[in-house]
Amino acid sequence: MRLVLRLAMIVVGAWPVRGFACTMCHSPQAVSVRARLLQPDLWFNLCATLLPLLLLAWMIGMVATPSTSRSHAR
Amino acid sequence: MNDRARPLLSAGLALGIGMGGFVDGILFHQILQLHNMLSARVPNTDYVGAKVNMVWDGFFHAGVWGITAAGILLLWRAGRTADASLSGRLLGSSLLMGWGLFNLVEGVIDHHLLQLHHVYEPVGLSIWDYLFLLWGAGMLLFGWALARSETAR
Repeated sequence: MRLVLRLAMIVVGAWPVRGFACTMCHSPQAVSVRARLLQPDLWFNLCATLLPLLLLAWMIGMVATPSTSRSHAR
Repeated sequence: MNDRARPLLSAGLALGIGMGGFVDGILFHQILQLHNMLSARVPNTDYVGAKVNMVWDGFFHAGVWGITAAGILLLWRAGRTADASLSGRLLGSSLLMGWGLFNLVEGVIDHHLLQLHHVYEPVGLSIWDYLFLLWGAGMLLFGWALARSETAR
């Protein structure tokens, strides 16, 4: 009986009903936001957003790695 | 560089970068709303623009979260490394250096080179962007001087 109840909850939970909590999912504004995000500059924007963080992560890696390990790796 | 200092120094740098990134994101992007991640490219003055900028702010915060998480792991590793320095002064100085580095790297790339946003967006590139760099350089130099005095002991 508990197994049937659990299965029923999974089926109900996975049922493709509209997400009432998501105010942005199906509104005209959401369509506009997605359209602006998915323009051809998407990859530029993504790379530009992450570039400083990647550079900083590389600096941390350089400090964390002892100089002897770096020269052995060459 | 003293190899005993590396584990704690790298952890402090990562955590300092995280602190700087979160202060920028939380204080400037969200509370004061002086700019957003792409506010010089996508104006945030209407609903859709604000929402699009919110998405890119999210990517920025996710990256900063990743660096902070790496900092926690590095700090844990430093604590377990037998001869690593665990000086509080070294940790403080590396936090300052990390925060300063964040301001400098993010400021030069995002504000000046790529012009993704500026500190006070309504006026574009302004004295505030140079003060942001100066603030970062000051923290970096002060942290570096503190770290040097500690590792020279």
